[in-house]
Amino acid sequence: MPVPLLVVVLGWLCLGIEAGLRGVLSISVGQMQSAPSLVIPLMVFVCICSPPMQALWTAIGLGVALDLIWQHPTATEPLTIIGPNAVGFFVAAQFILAIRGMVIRRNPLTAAALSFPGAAIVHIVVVAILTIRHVWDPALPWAPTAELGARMLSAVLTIPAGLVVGVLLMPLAPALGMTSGQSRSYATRR
Amino acid sequence: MAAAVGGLVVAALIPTRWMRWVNAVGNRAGMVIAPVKGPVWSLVNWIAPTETPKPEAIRVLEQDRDRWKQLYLHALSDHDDWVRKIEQMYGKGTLYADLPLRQLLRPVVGPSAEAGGQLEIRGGLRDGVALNTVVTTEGVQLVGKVVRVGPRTSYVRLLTDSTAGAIDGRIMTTDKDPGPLCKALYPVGGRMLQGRIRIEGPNPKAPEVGQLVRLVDDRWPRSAQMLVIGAIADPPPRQESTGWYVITVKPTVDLDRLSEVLLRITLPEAEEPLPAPSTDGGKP
Repeated sequence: MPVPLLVVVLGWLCLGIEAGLRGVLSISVGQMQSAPSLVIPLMVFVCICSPPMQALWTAIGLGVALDLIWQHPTATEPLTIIGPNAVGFFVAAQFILAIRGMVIRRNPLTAAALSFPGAAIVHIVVVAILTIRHVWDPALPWAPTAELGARMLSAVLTIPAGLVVGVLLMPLAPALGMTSGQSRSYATRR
Repeated sequence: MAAAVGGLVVAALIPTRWMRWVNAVGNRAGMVIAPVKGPVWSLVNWIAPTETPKPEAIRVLEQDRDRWKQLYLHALSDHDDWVRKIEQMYGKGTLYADLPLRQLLRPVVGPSAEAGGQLEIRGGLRDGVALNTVVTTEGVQLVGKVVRVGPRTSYVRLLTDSTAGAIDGRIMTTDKDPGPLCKALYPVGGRMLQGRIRIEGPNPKAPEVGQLVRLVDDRWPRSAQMLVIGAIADPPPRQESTGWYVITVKPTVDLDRLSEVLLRITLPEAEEPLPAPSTDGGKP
């Protein structure tokens, strides 16, 4: 299966499962709810495995998809805001690409460990963008501190989700572009 | 790549009034993931139901009982309303009949907002769903209102969502006796509402945990009056130094975990404007 098609199918499944499980896995934090993400570990996994450009475009695509499916309730009609998650995913992907040389890429625990900083970066960027937006467009009820707190808890909850995604997707790593260290070292010897 | 990211940053910051078209794209995106989201949601509700399933016969009878009770209380509330109107208008008030309704039972696809408080429902414009359609459970528990409608799906804001605003209700001291009116129950998080009431009269009785609170609010359609908002929950009502009681109300079911909801759609013929009340001394 071509890599983009595989990523699209995995993204579609992760988005659907994340949205479907959200009701049962969510924890109330004041007026907010925190829940683990499956899309962020997928992005982390793709960033660990794939070439940089492919990883960045995948991150943007997954972020846009997340922006489209999650609405922001307002006093009138709920809003769909395109961009915050996409930019957050892009920044998080840059971070993962920068440090992936320092981690053991073939270990599923790596996806779990990197899911936390990845999710934290995504949420910080989302909160920052929506806080700036709130300055001139108060249509969206927005409490930055409460949002950030709930989202940081979501980032913590994403760690086990990252482990599950890491274990399940590890067999697909070669299909996503990960080359084994051994074959690469043979290649250099030749 | 840089242009794409720049474009996304700009799109994220553009004010709402210029980006309403994205809502339609969002509706389509919701439909794309619905084939995965819906089954997962149903499976989760089947594996971990929010309440113990009762035998079908008992469930149907209980729902029937609750529905008749709501109709009875609604009729009482209507009667009081009519008396008030007649008094106000010296006998020349407008007395209009109840609006006909169509009830539509639709499955829930899943949540539609990251922070919770909204549900996506399989039923939209093609099924006759309109904005502000009242949504209840299969019984008489109020769920919320439809806030966005797509061709095949619609989105319901739960009454416990932080953006839902205040709602007025009446505490039922017994099954039949309406008690004090509780103005402005506000969502306070944790899927609960909170409000303050003042109990007056010669023999004031404090509200108790477990008493039902029913909708009595002019901002909601007449057909929705006397539906159940919830029951008084812990912490028990406490009296402030000013004599007001603070009550916490929790819906009788977990609104975030519903698998089916009932849409109470007002029929189009009922929406025709009514003739203005006569002001010429009773001439037709």
